Amino acid sequence: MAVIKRNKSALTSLSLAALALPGVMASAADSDQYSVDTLFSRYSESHNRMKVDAYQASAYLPLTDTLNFRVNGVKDVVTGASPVTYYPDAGKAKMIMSGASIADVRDAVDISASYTNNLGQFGVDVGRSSENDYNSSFFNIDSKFDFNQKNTTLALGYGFASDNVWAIDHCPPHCEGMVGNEGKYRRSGVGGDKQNHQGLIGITQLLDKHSFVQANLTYSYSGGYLSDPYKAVYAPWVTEPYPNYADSGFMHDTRPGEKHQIAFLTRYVRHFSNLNSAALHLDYRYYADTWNIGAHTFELSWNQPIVDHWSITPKFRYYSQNAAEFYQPYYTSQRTDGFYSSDYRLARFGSVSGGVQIEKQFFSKLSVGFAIDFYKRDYSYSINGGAGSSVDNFTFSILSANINYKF
Amino acid sequence: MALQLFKYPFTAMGSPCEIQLYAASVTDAAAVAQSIIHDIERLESKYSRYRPDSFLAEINHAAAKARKIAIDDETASLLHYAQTCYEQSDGLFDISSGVLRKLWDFKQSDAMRIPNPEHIQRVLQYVGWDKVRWTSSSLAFSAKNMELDFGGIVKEYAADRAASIAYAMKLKYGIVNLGGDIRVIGPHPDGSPWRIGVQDPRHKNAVLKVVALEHGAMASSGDYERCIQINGQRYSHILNPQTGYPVNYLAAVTVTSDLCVLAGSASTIAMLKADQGMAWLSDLGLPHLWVTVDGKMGGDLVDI
Repeated sequence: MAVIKRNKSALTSLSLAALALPGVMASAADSDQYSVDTLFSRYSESHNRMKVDAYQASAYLPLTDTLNFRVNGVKDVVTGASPVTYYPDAGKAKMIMSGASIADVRDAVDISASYTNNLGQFGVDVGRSSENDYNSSFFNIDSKFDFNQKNTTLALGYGFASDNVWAIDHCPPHCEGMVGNEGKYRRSGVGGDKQNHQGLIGITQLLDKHSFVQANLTYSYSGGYLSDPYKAVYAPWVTEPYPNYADSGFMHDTRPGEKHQIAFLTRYVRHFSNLNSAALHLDYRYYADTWNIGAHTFELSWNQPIVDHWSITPKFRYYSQNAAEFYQPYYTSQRTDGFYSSDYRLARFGSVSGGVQIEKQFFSKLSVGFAIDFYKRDYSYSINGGAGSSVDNFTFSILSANINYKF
Repeated sequence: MALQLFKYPFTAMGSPCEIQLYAASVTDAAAVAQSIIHDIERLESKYSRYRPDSFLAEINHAAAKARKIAIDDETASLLHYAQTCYEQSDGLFDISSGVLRKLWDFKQSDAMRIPNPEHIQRVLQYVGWDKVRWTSSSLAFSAKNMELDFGGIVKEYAADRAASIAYAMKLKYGIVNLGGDIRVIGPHPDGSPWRIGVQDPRHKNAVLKVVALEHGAMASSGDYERCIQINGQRYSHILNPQTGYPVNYLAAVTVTSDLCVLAGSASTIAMLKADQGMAWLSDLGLPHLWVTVDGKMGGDLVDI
């Protein structure tokens, strides 16, 4: 009996000493850890145009093995100026920037839940975003199903957003026709509601243990007020004064009340175990809509883990689009369809961007990342056709820092 | 969430190793495998007795000259574990016994040269955990020409850490095999256990018993291939630090436990306990299997 007693204590002693070894005491129950993420990023355009400081925080809350929640909050502080319209000057488009500098804050919050069972994974995300000139409420549902001995995954998703958009003017300087007190007021004659429905079907196929391909088809329908309430177009036949500019010869940005969009993404990911688990991502995306915009995006990134849990990811992206059917930098004659927009985002243009992200992980608990991205938009970079103008050439940079901590 | 099985074979700590992970993507799996392999390589470069630049080499440099050396927390906790094994095995599990290996060449089983008994006695002066003094920050040797060897602990410890690394990276299903020291991260995604063969110590490619593990670890000590015959008597390669001779009763012991490091040291202690090993194992209370040098087999894993 004495032997038995001593050996019972042998197991206890050995277990206690083993559990005191660093990094040994962890269980699968810890695998879904509570974690928090914070991100700060600064977006700044050339020529002192827009600057956006974005603050984001999210918390991941695994409730059980199969059910988890995520809460995400974003605050964007937007300052600067943006193009309002263009007019012809010796045959070239000249830009008019928003006079008073923009100062807006966007607050957004969304809550998502995800549930996994033998059939697949199901998620729902509900959120709201508000600015002083834009409100949006949205929800998304998504699901993923495995087939073919888990070599194939089918993803299905649907999203709905209901937005309300208007324009805010400040008095002074723009006090024409203002109602009420000095300060902010809502510009009349522009703005409205819009809805967006989006459906996604995607398939991921493992090719071998090092690579997979993914194809996603997205269809969206937008209906309602799809114009930009802040933007104007040069329309010399108009005789009424344009709000805040008092000049005649301008009219509101006026776009069709609906838009069908389709996007097709193909992605190839390959992992190289002989290069310290480096990973290559190759993306191509084709986009087309019923405003006649077509666009190609090529993206390439290389994730290279280096020593001591450092990793570096260089990225390169090329984008090219043609102009919307009704887009012109300025108009010299009336269109029969009544649609006018000089929004540079609807122009023919191309862009190249590149960046690098560096990440370091500490003790599998904390990871810190920094990224820098540069973007250059140029009329001449487009391989597509349509109207556009080099007056809209600009560059921007994004600097960001993020911290993730797992409890 | 297509969980796919990814396998990463590699060599570390002188053994063939393999990590098998279920992950949604190759990138996820590779990130976890990479972190695990990094940690194993870190431990190997720190505690390898074959690398002249390892921290263990520094320790043994101090041991050779009976000097004191500063140690970090990880080394201190390994020493604490080694001390516990020493106490619980009545001095048989001794990480200073590696110096005896210089006397016995297990690679030449055919023409085994029996070391001169006087020679054995002389080398035994350099063996003994009781000649080692340590604190949480330092390690000192009271005799010269000593040597420490974490060989019986570090590989198993690495396997346990591998599971923790996987959990921290949210990976739940997989298995780590470091030269036969096995730690299950978690079962197959459908909840079914990993079926692990215990090698028959007498037949290299034969499986003695298949053990099903959903979690926990399995480790073995001893193997028939590395047994030696001296005057018709079979000896295992495990050396008794008190006699200086290899133990000659058990050929192999396999133990399962929640932790690989515990399974590993329990199987080694049982080997060292020789004919007392089987009783020690059943009293310890961990599932186990033993095979004697003359081919008898027992233990509660046999009956499962």
